[in-house]
Amino acid sequence: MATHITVDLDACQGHGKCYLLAAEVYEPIEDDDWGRSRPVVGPLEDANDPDGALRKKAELGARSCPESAITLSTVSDDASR
Amino acid sequence: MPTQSLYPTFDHFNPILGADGTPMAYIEALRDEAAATPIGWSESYGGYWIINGYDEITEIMDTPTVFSNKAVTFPRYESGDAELMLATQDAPKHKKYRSLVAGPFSPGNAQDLDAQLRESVAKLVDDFIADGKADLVSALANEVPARMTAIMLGLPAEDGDLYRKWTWAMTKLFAEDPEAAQAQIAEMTSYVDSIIAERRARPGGDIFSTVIQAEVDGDRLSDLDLHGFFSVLLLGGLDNTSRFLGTVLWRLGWDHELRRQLRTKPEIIPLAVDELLRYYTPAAIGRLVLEDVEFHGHQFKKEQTVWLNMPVGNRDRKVFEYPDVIIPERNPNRHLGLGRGLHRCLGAHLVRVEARAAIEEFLHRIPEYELDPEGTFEWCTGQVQGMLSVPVLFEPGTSRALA
Repeated sequence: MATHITVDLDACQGHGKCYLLAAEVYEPIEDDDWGRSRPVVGPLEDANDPDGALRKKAELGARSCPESAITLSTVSDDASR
Repeated sequence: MPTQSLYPTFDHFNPILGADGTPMAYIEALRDEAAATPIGWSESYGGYWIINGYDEITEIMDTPTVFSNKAVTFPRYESGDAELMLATQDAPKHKKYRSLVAGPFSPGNAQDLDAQLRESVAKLVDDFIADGKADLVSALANEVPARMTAIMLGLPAEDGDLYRKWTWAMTKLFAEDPEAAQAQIAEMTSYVDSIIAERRARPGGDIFSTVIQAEVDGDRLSDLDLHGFFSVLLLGGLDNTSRFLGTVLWRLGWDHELRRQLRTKPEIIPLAVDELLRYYTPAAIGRLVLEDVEFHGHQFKKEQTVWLNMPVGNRDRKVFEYPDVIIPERNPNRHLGLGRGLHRCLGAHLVRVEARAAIEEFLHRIPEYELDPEGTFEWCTGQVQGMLSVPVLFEPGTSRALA
């Protein structure tokens, strides 16, 4: 099961709460006038996030977004092939 | 007996101040009326629509085609012949100009200024820590943003004193003494003229050099545009930020529990800053109605001003649980303290870094302090509101120079 992190750039206003609170997962897009965000990690799974710490951070960032611009979706291994 | 509406007499230059010296109780009363009546007409200044509901405020902010920024200040600020760049502009001009200065105000750049900001605060505290007393507005809240603005413009930090004077002229003095304000603004105009000349000859890495050399649609900015940029950077950078910092330092002076939390858990300060921006929203903003329109049952007429009352919207019960409580770790926090959309505060990232640095560094040096019981605490009214004087007492400490 992989967790995909998506930032909706139309909804994102660059408040920056995500990269403030979860810099391991989000960063401001360079040269973006608004400081909008993008994920810095690929889909999270056991291989790159064994203890689930990154997933927790990803969730914190998503929860903190005033615009609800971040979605985490879990895709099963079968579906992603 | 039916309650009288608060709308007809609403006047942002004359809010009702409560026992604590702030208009918070009045803001809460406005919010209570807004629950059933989010929009109302005030007779002040020839009349303007007061928008107190969160949803109604955001809807207007999200509809720039009908609600123009031409009336962002109301009554209009005096800024000489130059219009305030960005703040008073609409599409398509606005976005192009905003792009010019977005870089220096990016999250990365704001973070890069953190060390300088902390050093600024530490130095300012050094200047008064041995006295055992200070006015945290004149000694700190006014100084930090003024110096930061000077640094960003590539100018001497001490010039901050001049900026404060001119900001006052633009935002308050113009209403009380227009002639004196004009004289100040003339002084500001010649100051900016001389920087323009200098930077044209010797460009630097500062915002002003960037703006001077930039091209919009193939053209360099006019001198009037450059003056407009300077004015808006001063207003946003000094007025709003200083009032906000002053109010925060005042609150921490008597709210021992909040102070204790921020001192012992500095990692919550970033969230707390946003919560304080919600609770003590520094600014309210105007919009100009561009065409006759019916808005939620009200007939808005072309040329009227609508007043986006963010301080009240930020207490909307539909959006915020326990809105009248400062919950330092409130998250998410969809407050309107920095606006939203195209005109969201350019300095949003910077003010967060500034406030965090100021609070942390100040509490680190002076962890315990009290509001001076003999002191006068003045609330600044108008478009931008907050504490103007915060005299405090504390155990004298040692300047780092002598430690």
